[in-house]
Amino acid sequence: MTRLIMNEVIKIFHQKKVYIFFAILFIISLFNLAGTAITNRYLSGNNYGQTFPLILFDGVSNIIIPMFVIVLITSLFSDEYADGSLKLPLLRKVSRNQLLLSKMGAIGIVVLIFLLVLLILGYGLGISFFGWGDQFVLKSKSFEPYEGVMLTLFTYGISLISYLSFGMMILFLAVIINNSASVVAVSTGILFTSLVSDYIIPKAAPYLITNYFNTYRLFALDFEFKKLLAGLIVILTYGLGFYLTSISIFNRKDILI
Amino acid sequence: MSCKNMIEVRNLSKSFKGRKVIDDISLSVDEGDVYGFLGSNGSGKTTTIRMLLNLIYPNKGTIKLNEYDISRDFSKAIKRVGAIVEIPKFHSYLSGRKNLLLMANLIDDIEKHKVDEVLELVGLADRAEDKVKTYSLGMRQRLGIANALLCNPRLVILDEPTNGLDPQGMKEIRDLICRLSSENNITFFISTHLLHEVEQMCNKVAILNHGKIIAQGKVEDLVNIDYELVEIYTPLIDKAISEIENLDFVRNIKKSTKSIFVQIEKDHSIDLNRALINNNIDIKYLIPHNQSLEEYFIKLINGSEENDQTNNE
Repeated sequence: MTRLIMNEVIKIFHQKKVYIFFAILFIISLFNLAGTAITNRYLSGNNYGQTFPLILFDGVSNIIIPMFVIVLITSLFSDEYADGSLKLPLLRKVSRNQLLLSKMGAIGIVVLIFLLVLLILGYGLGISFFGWGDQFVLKSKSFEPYEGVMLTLFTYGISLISYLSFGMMILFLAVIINNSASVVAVSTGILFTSLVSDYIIPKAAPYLITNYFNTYRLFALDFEFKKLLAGLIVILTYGLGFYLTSISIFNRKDILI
Repeated sequence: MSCKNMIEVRNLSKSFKGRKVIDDISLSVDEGDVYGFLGSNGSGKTTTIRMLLNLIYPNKGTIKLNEYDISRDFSKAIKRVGAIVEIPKFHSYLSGRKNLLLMANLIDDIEKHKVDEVLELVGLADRAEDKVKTYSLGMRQRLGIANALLCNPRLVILDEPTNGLDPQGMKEIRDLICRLSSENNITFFISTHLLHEVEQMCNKVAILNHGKIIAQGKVEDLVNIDYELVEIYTPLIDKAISEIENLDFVRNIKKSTKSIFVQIEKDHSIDLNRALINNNIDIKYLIPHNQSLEEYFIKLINGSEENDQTNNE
């Protein structure tokens, strides 16, 4: 299984589109840096290096990272199904369950690397330009520096699980729709509809996976254990539900290409 | 000596959207065979191969590879099997070597030099570092064969392995298959629509038409049926015909401008020759014509289609 996951990771890092996303991430970081500098200077903001990773995360969590997940899954599943290379491991001692699990494992690793790069960029650029600062201030709420670091790591960590659960939903679409372009189109449609619904229908928000991409607003600033538990249940329900359904469909699917 | 069954298919059927594409086929491939799976385009060859490899699930029937039922023990069944399905598909953004290295990662106990060995064997060592997207169809076929050979297979399943190759490439692949079969005792199951390919490579053949196997057996038995065709060159054509007509082992006579085609019962060519000589008929040439697989195939297909039409009526 480890070798299978490594194969998938190697394939991902041999594709240009991954580096395009990393480049986009870097450019967005620079824009955020400029935006934060302007806020600090002209709007009396007090954002320091310790806060910047969360500011940066805020800028990419709802669209850039989910789009990255969509592109990864389309590339590892739909594109491979369409070009016929998906069946290569299946002609070895690899079951369909193992194949899907390895692909999601690889996506988990790559998204984790993406988040780590984001975190390092956030701290690196933030500290370089604004200094570490003596307190962690977020949305007018201040924390001790160590609390700020924990909050940052918690937000990044929970988001990884949310993105993987969102990924399971995209995997489900990829299993039932054979065409890559259609998978990207439908997934992007669902993403934006869900993001808009978050604001338009607040009552629906707790049940939408997009609500959990950026968790610090939900849990950290107004912490309630019940809310956290409910959120985790929603995230895991999405993940497990779509994964098990995808496995069930894929196991019965005739591979015709 | 009992031979191990490398492939055993029993009563296999498959339908897509109510249309039967494979209809109750059974076949058996013994160890050491080079088994041709012959059929015209759309006859169901690739569907059968996909079912052999568990990519498509049959509606009915059983498949055993290496004596393991693939529906229960697929990982054991596939362990020493190499396969190409249609045109070999690889990750086009990776080099040939990288593709094989990824596949080699999935094989337990593989020797370190195996990837280089198979690349050398199929003549791709020089282009191994190039990306697959720069490969010609022929090169992809070779890479597919290299991939199939990675696991030291005892059985190799190839779907139209010479498809897209130039004549030189086709010959090289055929030679490679024959060499691997004789030197390494690898069993081959090869689907093709090229009749001469079966004649040149295979010892056994099954002929598939509209999803049904209409003939199978040893190639030599199928092409050498119970009569022979002999062409006789003689200056005394009419006299020869009148003598031949009286011979009881003669089944049919056809006169051409310079010769006579005589269909006789098997093993009677010496008697024919003797009868002509004894009647003072000079013979310039006596040429045996073996029935080719092509003639046999066309006859079978036509026969099968006539039967289908009759049944429909």
